[in-house]
Amino acid sequence: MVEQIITEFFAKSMHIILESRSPFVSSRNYYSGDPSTSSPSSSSSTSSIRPRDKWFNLALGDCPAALENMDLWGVGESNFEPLVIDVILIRRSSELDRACPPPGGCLVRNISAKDHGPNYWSIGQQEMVTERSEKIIERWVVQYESRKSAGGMGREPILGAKRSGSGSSHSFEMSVAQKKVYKRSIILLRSLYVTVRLLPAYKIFRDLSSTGQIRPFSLAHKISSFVEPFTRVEDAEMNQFAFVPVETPCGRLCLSVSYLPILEDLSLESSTPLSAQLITDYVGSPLAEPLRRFESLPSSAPAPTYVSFTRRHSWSNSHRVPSTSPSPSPTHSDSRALCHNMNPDCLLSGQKTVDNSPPRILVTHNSPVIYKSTTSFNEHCPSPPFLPSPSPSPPHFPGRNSLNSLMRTESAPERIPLAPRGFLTNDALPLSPSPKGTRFRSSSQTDSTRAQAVAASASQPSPDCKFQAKPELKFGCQKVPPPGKSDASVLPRGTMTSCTSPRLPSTSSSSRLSMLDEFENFGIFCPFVEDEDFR
Amino acid sequence: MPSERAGILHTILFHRALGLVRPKDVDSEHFEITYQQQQQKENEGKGMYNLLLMQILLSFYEEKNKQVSWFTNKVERQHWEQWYINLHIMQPNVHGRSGNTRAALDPAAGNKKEESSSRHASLEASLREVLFQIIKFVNEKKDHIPPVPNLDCIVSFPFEITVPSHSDSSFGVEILKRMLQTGHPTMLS
Repeated sequence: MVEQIITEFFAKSMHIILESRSPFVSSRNYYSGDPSTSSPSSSSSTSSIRPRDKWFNLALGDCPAALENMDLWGVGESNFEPLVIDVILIRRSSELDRACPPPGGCLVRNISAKDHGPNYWSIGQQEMVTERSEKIIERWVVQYESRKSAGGMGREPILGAKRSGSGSSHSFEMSVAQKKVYKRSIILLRSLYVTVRLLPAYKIFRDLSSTGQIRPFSLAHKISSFVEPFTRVEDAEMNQFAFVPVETPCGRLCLSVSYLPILEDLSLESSTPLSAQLITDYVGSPLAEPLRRFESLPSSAPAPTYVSFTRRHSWSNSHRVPSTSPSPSPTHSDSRALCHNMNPDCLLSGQKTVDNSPPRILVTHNSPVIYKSTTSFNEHCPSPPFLPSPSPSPPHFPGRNSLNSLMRTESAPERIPLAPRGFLTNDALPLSPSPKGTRFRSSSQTDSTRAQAVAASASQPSPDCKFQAKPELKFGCQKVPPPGKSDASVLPRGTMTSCTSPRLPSTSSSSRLSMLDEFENFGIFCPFVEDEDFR
Repeated sequence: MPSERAGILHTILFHRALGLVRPKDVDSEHFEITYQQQQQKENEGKGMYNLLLMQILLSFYEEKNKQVSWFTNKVERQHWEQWYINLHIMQPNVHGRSGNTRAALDPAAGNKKEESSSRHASLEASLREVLFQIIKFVNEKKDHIPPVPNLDCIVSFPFEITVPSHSDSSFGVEILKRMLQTGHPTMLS
């Protein structure tokens, strides 16, 4: 069913994004200090294949934050509300590195709440002045735009693939349309996987995940179902990148990102090493003044350190910078977290629409992209020989409830062990109470940098340049010249021929290009169908 | 820079490996760029040392039925996608770094270093642009892509790498192809 594809697409997108933006929870997948083996795939993961991994043929590492958020989001419940993921850079001022933790109780931002549904932030309860700045450095938007007018390739209603008794041809047509959507979704998610690692925020994520030092900055994320518009200043700083939408019979899947193209080099920030140090002149020690009082703390108040953000209510995962105090006891167990650099002035300015225009970052090439296609592949493909006769039996497809339970069983949140690199806990410093946090000094050199890149690629060879890739990509399809001609000759460009059916010999070096066979093994196309393989 | 060339190729291949994969993140040697690989990593470094390719042609194809004739029995390959990757690789200008010259060139050395780092940053940005362009291309047209291969077989569509302008570098091309094709991909059983 297309509906399930869309639902799983949302879940997979969330997983891909949070896996590379949520450093604490995914730090277990990374080897410390060894960037060459940073991928979770390098670990012994071939043995554990979860059914969820098979969706879109992309197996990802463990990401409890993503799994938890999927449950909160309502994966599997036909939730097609926009999925908005804000990646927030939390930066702590250097003064706090040496300062004692502030007194008081809960240190939570006090921002008025707007109840936009179940998937929204809750408010803070107290207010405290802190030296802390937050900035949204990325905003991912995944949404499904349904078309009111039913046209195009099918008239399948969005809710449920109603398998009426209209005959085998109808189900076959639906199957072809669904497979197209699935294939396109696979490619789109591949692109998403690549993109999240190309954007500047990934470097911050890697720094937080791989280094064994306490950084004065951290990453947090916020998930919501609506797009809060940026301020004009923020909007001007952001770059937009919109993926080509995936067309479905009744709409299209859209994926886009707004990101800061240049982030300050946070690796230069002072960081606290995790070497153990013996403090001999601590307060109360015989070496210190015996009559000295710790003035910053009232006598009756407990020693607060940082806030504990319980996950059952929060819709964020704020990986705070731990304070220097060793005491991890929270003061409010149900405090809410709101990581949001929100300007109240822009809350009512309307919903920001995602720009699907061609991305701005692309560099124009000297040679145009050549693609000539007279036909599409599938239109001229006769029925492949592997096409089985449609089965009159109901599809071997687990029910949604069982699917959810299966997914939730497989995606049970795991206990995150304390990172050996010294992050004390997930609890951290208070949020800034001011709705306008300190803005980062974002460079507005995006255009100049881009122009510099273009100029570098088009300029005369520089003696110091060792590598320069000229992005000339030509998209074409053509036949191989008949035997006898040199394979190394320059092939003509741009000619497109219609492809025949994928009748391929079953050799070890070739692949059976039969998507129907694959889907037959899975029932419709759900990778879970062959449960007997995974039980 | 072999790793950057491999990064571009692997990025394209990653978008054409539509079978079940568990991607492996590989860091570029010279830039802060991470690309994805679905092949075994130990094959990566082989054979890239002597390649100064100007243009790489990466072609995805389908194999048609074997046409048996009197003279030929080759399997015809029908390409459905081709990528032309143009590379401009320039030799670095090695300056003398003796102690005598260093003192004399100190003011200039600082400028050179700054210029070099600036150029490095621009190259990195250029490489990112290429990867983003690949992402744009692979998402623009999808209808021509054959159905997803059977999971029991290879993960990716069959492909070949040729160097259209350098027919005498077939040895390097073969190594490059072997580098990308040999070994079991990181498939999941």
